[in-house]
Amino acid sequence: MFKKLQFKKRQLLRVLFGSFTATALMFVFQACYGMPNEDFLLCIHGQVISEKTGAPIPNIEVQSNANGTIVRTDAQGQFDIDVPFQEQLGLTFRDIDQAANGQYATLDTVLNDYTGESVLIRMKSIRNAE
Amino acid sequence: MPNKRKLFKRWLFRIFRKNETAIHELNYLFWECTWRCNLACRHCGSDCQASATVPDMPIEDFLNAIEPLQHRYKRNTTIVAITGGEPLLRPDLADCGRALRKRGLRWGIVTNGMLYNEAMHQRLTQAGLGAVTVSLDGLEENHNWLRGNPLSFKNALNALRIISQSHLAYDVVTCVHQRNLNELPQLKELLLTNGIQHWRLFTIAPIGRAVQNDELQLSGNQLKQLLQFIADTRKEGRIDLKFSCEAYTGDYEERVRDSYFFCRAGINIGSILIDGSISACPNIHRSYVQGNIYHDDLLDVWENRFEKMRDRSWMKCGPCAKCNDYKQCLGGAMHLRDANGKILHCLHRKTR
Ligand code: SF4
Ligand code: SF4
Repeated sequence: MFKKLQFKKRQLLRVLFGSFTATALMFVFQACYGMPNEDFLLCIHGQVISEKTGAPIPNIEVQSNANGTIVRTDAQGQFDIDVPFQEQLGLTFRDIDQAANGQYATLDTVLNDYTGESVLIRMKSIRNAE
Repeated sequence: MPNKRKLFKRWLFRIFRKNETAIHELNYLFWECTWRCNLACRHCGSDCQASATVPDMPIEDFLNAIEPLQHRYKRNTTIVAITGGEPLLRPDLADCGRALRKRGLRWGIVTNGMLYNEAMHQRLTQAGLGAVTVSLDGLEENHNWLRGNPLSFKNALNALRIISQSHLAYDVVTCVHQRNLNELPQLKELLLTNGIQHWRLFTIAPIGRAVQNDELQLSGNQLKQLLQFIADTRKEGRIDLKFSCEAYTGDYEERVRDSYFFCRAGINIGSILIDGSISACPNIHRSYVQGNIYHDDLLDVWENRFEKMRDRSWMKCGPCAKCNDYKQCLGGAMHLRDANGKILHCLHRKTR
């Protein structure tokens, strides 16, 4: 019991160090013979296709909810976006050119434990765009 | 920095260090996945051999060993640093990385860059690679001399160009010795010209192959020159340069790194070596091994052993016994202690 309390106290002290002092950098350390432990990003690779036809959709805006990064899909509907390393990665897909490539409803999605493989995003068309 | 402020910050740091030692969360786990290497560097501190007969550790063995950590820590608490030997020689490296990602672990590699090309970059980033450290030990002639291969500079620089343009966290590390010390300013310009922004400097510890080569050790004045170069470059602000965690640097402490010297071996840093040994940093003398994954539980070893790293009072011997800086330094780096606990060298004393 006492040990548990002491541990909690130490954890609290740790948080206080991180937030109230100029020592936050102390938490971000790197072993001499190791690689950096900070600014750790993941690159999500994927392709956006039409749910109905399976055709790739170019020019869709892809936004990372965590860091706000925005990229667009290329002619093959493919995208690469750099996001912070998190268990759950929120992405928003938006049709920004409206009728130009068909019209699609905005899609919010969450990727759990992204492992690096390419993701396939299917967007729903709206109205008679296709 | 006004003296009072400096003293207060150092005092605060010592409380922080004590707290971190008591919590000893395993945040950084090395995996010595292979002893094979495609170079035979003059300064190698590893025990690996170019044609190692020791087989690579199967990924399943490593995954089984780290399984208990997942019950103890939140996901993403621990980063796995894959090292060797040369990790890129493992044909299944991407599969290993993907398996780590599936368990919510971040991973990165430490490499000589010889085999790092666009195709390798794609393969590894698609397996969730997040960070890379590449060695570049001077301008072309000196790098190739140290690394013993005429192509090593070209390949390492090419790797760095690919990496620095990507999303990866990265840095370039340079082992400084007598032959490349004076070319550091030129190397800085070369890195900047190639868009490389993160740089870390080491000295070479008198361990492994480096013991036999005096040219690799810096004199006191040369060490001062090195620390001054780092301090000046940091002040200049054109490149993110740090001195590695290897030693306490006295008055330079506030000027050569983002934080104070803190040897976290066995406090936040652990390693699983090629034969399954559980240790702190891989470059620490193998007599400090604390257990073995093939007959011990990693979490149990981490929680209940490592006393020598968490209570360093035994290090207050030899020159450290009478040292005025002991309180701040705590006897220096674990990797600079021999099997009997004797200090191999003290960088700070050398510079005085
Ligand atoms: S043992 Fe050496 S490499 Fe490991 S944390 Fe300590 S100083 Fe750094
Ligand atoms: S003599 Fe020991 S305690 Fe003093 S600076 Fe050197 S390593 Fe640190």
